[in-house]
Amino acid sequence: MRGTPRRSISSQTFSGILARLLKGSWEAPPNLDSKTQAPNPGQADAVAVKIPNALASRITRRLSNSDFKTIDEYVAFVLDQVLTELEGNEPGANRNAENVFSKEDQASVEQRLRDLGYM
Amino acid sequence: MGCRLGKLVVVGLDGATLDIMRPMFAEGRLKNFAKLSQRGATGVLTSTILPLSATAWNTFATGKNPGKHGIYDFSRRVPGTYQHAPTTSRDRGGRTLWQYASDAGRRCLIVNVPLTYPPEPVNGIMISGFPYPEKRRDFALPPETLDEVEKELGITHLHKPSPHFLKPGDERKLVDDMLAITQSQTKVVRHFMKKESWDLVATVFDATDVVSHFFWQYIDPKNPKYDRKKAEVFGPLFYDVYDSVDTAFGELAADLGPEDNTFVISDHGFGPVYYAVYMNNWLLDNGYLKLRRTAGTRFRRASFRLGITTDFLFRTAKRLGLVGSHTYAYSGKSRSLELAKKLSLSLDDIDWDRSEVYSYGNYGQFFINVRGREPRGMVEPGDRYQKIVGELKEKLRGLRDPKTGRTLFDIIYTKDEIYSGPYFDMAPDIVFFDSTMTYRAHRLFEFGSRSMIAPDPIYSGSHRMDGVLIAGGPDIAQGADPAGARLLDLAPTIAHLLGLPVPSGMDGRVLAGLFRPSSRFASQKVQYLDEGSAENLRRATRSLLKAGKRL
Repeated sequence: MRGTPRRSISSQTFSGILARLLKGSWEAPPNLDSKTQAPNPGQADAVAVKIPNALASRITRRLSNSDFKTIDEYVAFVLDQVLTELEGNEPGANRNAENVFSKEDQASVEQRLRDLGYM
Repeated sequence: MGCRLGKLVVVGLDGATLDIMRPMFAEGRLKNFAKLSQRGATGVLTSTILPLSATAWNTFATGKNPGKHGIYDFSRRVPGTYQHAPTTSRDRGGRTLWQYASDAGRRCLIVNVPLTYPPEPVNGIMISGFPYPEKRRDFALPPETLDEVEKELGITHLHKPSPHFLKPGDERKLVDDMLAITQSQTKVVRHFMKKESWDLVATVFDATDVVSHFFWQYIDPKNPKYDRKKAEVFGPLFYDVYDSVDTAFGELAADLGPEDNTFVISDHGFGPVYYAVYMNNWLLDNGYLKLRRTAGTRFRRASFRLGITTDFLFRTAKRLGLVGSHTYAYSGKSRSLELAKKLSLSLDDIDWDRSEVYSYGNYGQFFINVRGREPRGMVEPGDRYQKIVGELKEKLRGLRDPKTGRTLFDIIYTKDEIYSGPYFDMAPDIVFFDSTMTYRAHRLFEFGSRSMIAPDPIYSGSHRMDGVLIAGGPDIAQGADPAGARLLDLAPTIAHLLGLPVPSGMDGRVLAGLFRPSSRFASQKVQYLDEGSAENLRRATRSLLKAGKRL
């Protein structure tokens, strides 16, 4: 890859995304809840990543037929999905029973555990 | 892998022990397990530390030590609080055997494996095991599975038998419930097994665990609760439950072919328990735990000194006929539990700003109240932490029953000695237990008894480290010795037998000594899957393409 021209996919789209966020037109990718949602590349804590120009061009060609408007969104979504899949359950990511149980469900499970002497 | 492999079937018997099975074999009972045992390999399968079902079945599922899967008990600490909440499959780190098998295109049928709620998508069917909210019908995937079970088999649930109604005279009812659930589960597994040729089938029967906890007193004349007349009536029921899982296994085995391999396993063993040890009392007496200085706590402390404890209140209520049994009284349904909490000491009375150590959970767990980790931690990490841990370990080694002089806990570990992985920080700082479980650190959730040691108010049987492994099939050598086999080793062994590489993050090893010398798996070198490898990335990418997003 040495010498391959690279394009930054950093904050050049920040203003565009911010504008869409303000207009309420930012749409989270489907099937993703808040825990798995790809980081918004327009956020202030985004970092610049360089990819080869050729790859960026390939992505650009796909954008019009995809659910993404920018290279940043596309790359962030793909990387987030791949990493989530690779990591399985990320330590600490799901350790919140409230996400699994309603208050009533949790009480019923706790009672069953107590009935059996487990809790 | 060339020609198609047979099925790999795992039948789990929660808490089953060879101490019960071998004498039954000798009497000509448990014929189906005995047949598998004679054809294959039989021995002890060492459980996890602690030998708790929640921890153990997750180690079975992942092939990882608890430091990598993060399930240390049926409950977990809620971050930022001293509260606890039930653990679920979402709390588990690390992927399961059936997730790897699904990725590789293997068809999986997973039924009633504990701690699998909420169910995970697999290439096949998953029906979650205990515990889950039983009023809900979201404990299976694909979701239509439960409708099919109800429509075609008339079965509405596979809930773990509950002893909460166990009042004198209800023993038969509890056993009938266990037998019925075992039968229903067998029907469900057979129904799906007949529908297609699966690659991996895993199902766990709960009844052996429940009957062992509550009915051991009827087969053990040494138990302080032993009553000869009751033993004559209810003792045989204990063995009926073992017979019922043998019958279930026989029915499942009848559907298997000569190319299929079978593992009958338990997550831990079992044996009698006589005494409960209340370790928060010990921490209190030794100055590690301090109580609040409020009027309410002072009142409860004074009551506690007079012997007014939850245990005392329940025993009194029982004598007065207000409740049926300790088991019922301790359940969340009991109004007396709420009243007892107001009158007797509980963890709510602890002054966290002055307490260095507390105990919570099952079978012996100490947590140091570490600054920066616990919400009101007061022990500095580093030297102070190490000093307290060392002190506690030394004192635990010396703890004895003042009446008999017997050592209370012979297995004592600090977390760094046995756990490693991303969930290391969540582990208890010290775990300890009596390997015979004659003494069981108990009811660490409150100050249940004024004494440090008292008769166990709930159980008459409790867990041991030595579980069961019986393996048989075309690839298993007859008479092979599984000496040294650990529950940790099952997932890698099964992965290998499914023709899959063993994920590098698994801590167990392939039990190659079980394989018949002529088996392809004996000569085939174990392949390992580097979880960060390009192949894994390709798999993740395939999964991405299935996400339904236009890319």
